[in-house]
Amino acid sequence: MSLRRIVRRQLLWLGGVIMLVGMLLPNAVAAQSPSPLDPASPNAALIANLYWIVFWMSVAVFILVEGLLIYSAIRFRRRSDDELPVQVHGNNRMEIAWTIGPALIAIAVFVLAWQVMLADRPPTAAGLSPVSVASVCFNNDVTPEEAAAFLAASTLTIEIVGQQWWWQYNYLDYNFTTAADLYVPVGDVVVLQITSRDVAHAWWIPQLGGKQDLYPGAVTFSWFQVSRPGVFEGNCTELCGASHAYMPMRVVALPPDEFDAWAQAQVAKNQVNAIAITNPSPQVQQGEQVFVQKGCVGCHAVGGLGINAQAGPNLSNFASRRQIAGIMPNTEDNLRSWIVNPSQKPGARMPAIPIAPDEMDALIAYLDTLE
Amino acid sequence: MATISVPQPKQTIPWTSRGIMSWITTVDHKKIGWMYIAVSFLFFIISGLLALLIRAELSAPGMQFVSTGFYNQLFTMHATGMIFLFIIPFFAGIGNFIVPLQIGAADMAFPRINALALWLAVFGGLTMFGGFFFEGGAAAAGWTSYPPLSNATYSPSIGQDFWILGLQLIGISSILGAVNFLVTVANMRAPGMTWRKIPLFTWSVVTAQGMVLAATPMLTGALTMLLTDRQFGTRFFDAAQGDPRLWQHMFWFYSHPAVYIMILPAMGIVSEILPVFSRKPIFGYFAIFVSTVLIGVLGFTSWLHHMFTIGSNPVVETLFMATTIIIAVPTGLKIFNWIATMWGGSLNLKTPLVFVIGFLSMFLIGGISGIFQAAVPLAKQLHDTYWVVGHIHYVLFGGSVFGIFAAYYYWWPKMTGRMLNERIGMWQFWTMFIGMNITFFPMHVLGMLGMPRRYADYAEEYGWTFMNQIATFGAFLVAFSTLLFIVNVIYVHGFNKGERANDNPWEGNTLEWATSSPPPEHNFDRLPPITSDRPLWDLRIRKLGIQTKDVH
Repeated sequence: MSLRRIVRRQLLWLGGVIMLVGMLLPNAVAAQSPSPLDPASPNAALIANLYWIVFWMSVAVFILVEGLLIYSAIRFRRRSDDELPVQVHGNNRMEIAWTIGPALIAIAVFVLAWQVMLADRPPTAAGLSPVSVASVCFNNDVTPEEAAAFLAASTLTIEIVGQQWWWQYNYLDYNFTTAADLYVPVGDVVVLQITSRDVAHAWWIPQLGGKQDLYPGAVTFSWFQVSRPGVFEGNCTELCGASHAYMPMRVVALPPDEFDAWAQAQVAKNQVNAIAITNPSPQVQQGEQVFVQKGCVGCHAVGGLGINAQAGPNLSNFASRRQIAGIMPNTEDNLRSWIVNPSQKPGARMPAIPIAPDEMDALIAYLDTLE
Repeated sequence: MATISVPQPKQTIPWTSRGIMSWITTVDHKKIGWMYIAVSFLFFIISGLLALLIRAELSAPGMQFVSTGFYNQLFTMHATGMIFLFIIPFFAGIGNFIVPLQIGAADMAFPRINALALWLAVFGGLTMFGGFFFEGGAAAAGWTSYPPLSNATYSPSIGQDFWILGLQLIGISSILGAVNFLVTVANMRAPGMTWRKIPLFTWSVVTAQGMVLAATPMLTGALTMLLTDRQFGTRFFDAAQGDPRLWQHMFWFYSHPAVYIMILPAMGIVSEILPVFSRKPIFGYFAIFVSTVLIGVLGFTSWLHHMFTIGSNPVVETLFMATTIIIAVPTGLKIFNWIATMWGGSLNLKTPLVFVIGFLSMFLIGGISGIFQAAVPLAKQLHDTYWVVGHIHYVLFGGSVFGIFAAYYYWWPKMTGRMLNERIGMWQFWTMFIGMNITFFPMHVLGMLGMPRRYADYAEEYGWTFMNQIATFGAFLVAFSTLLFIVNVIYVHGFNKGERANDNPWEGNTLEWATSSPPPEHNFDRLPPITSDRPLWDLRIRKLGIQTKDVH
């Protein structure tokens, strides 16, 4: 095979890949992928913007260097066996030039990235210096005044507790707890105070900013300000055991008035003596009894019921959730299959509890009412 | 008149001896080098098969072939095997074989320590992979083994302890090997071989081994702490009384330099092959040498960029971003100098050079994607996603592995006396080159679509399925290309089809080409004068009386 053909094939192939990627990337993004290039929060938008700048710089460097490489491979191939090229041992001026070139690009990337780091802070913390924002965010050498000012700047503070393999959300401003789907108001600065109950995990909603690791015994911070109503998906991004792939998180951004209504409803539900359901049917009442008698309530709180149970996710708004246990859509059939066999999620701690068919029907009916 | 018959000294070629004891008990650097290479190839195959299982599992949403727990063992052992039992030992092996020859020495400085290092690595590897045969299976906490996941509570299986013990043996082996390489090059160079005349491959090995010596004790120390945490109740990485993040610092203090330990020798191979196949001197010997050492030094200053999401002080993050990005400068210098070496040359496009060009074009992509991850804000999005998996494979597969196959094709005639088949070699190159791009390029896209790494399963609605299927297809193409290499070796040696190699089939200019192929046990009968970093070039050209036009 002649070299020319090889090279032509290589070029065609390279072009093909670039075109393929060019065509697939937007399609795939349109297909509801949680992509950082589709930002819905100012911090994520800054990063997406930086990405595209660095991307186009890279494309230029790539074409230049790869072009030089392919050109030399074709142009300077051996044509006869007794060729003796000029013996060039080096050229200081040229070498200095192509040391300075990459150095300038490196400095440019550094400065651009640094600008983003300085800008990546809640707009409500504008009065604080970047360094003190950073100190608060990262728990370093922070004065109580600075911390207070920063937290005061947030409209909503949520404590996130990760554990194998689900997410618990404590709404510190409202004093209630939920899990899996995080409801937030559009437009408000939400400060996340993140920790873990067992191993390291990472909180990552690509459309709402960079990821943040969480560790037991330590608190880390993150923030976002959702710019449009919608559901933003994410996945745990630090290896955390057998069900690492089954630990999704989801932010549901509601218009402020809807969020307020939702939050007030949760608050009402979570009073110690609150009744989770008004006017329950007999079957739902039976379901609630099953929930208590079978011991579900020992791990799962529902409203005022088992309010201190934290071993399993709080189920007060279970029926509104999109998934069961992070592994399947929240449908009635799936729920039955899950209750009978929780071991389909590897490592899950929920035991399979024997349950009669009519009890199961009642339990399902009860859980279905927990909006 | 009776003729006195002088017995000709029998030229002993180490590997013509078939007795197994002669291999087990050997202290000959060439035999030890061969065993390193053979063992590393074996682990390449094993770890590669693990990768195929991983890719097969990811070809569709849901769990098809393995459980999630076993999947975690697969990627843990794939990475550990490829890094610690393939790439690093391969370079220890090829270094063992070639470095003493390149500097005109008869053997390594400490032959018995050399053998000890080899066997420690072999048994370290067996210990680590032995976990698969015990209850609970092999280690499953990732090759990074972050506590608390890797502690006794969350990884109770004995495979995790085997992983630690095996890695400690390999670490000790590396440290012993590093001392041996450094002493050998410092003390055993041929008369006249000043520091400025040392071949660039040897320079890269010296730099990499210097890094091994400085970095590996940190890893073995961290492993000991993890082991005592697991077995004896210490609390180094405990969340309450210690700090899990301490492990990350210690681990990456070794493992970031380890990336350069794995890439510098491949860069040395490039600097060795390019001039020979271009019939030109390396463009800027001094610049290449300085950038090698500089990369080695800077490699130690940037480990925190693997941990940009742990919540460090942003001032610290900014500093580490600077020290990381700065490494692009010596690396860029190298790439331009390599292209300048090809420029105006007479390129002999045989397999070694083709693999080197593959290295240059693919490592470039790995280097560029590295710049993205060096930028703190981008790292916070890209960290622990498939983008990073794509990046590391462009560096380690596109870089190190292409360098390794270039080395195979380049030095095979010297090591065996036979040429590998060019036609099969070209097929191997193209299938490998295309296969790796099909496998690893879509991973960048997957990362940008939000797919985290180390995922056994993914939901269909995320739109990740198609890219994963492309990658899986590519992985099997890469496996096919590796099979072609095995076919090549069997064709050449098993079927005796290989062309016999003369002493210097590629017109090499360094000392290993001044002895027979393969070299005798004592390596050299006599050495040519070391007139420059290309002693054989000087000899050849001067002998033929050819005038060259030299530009300095």
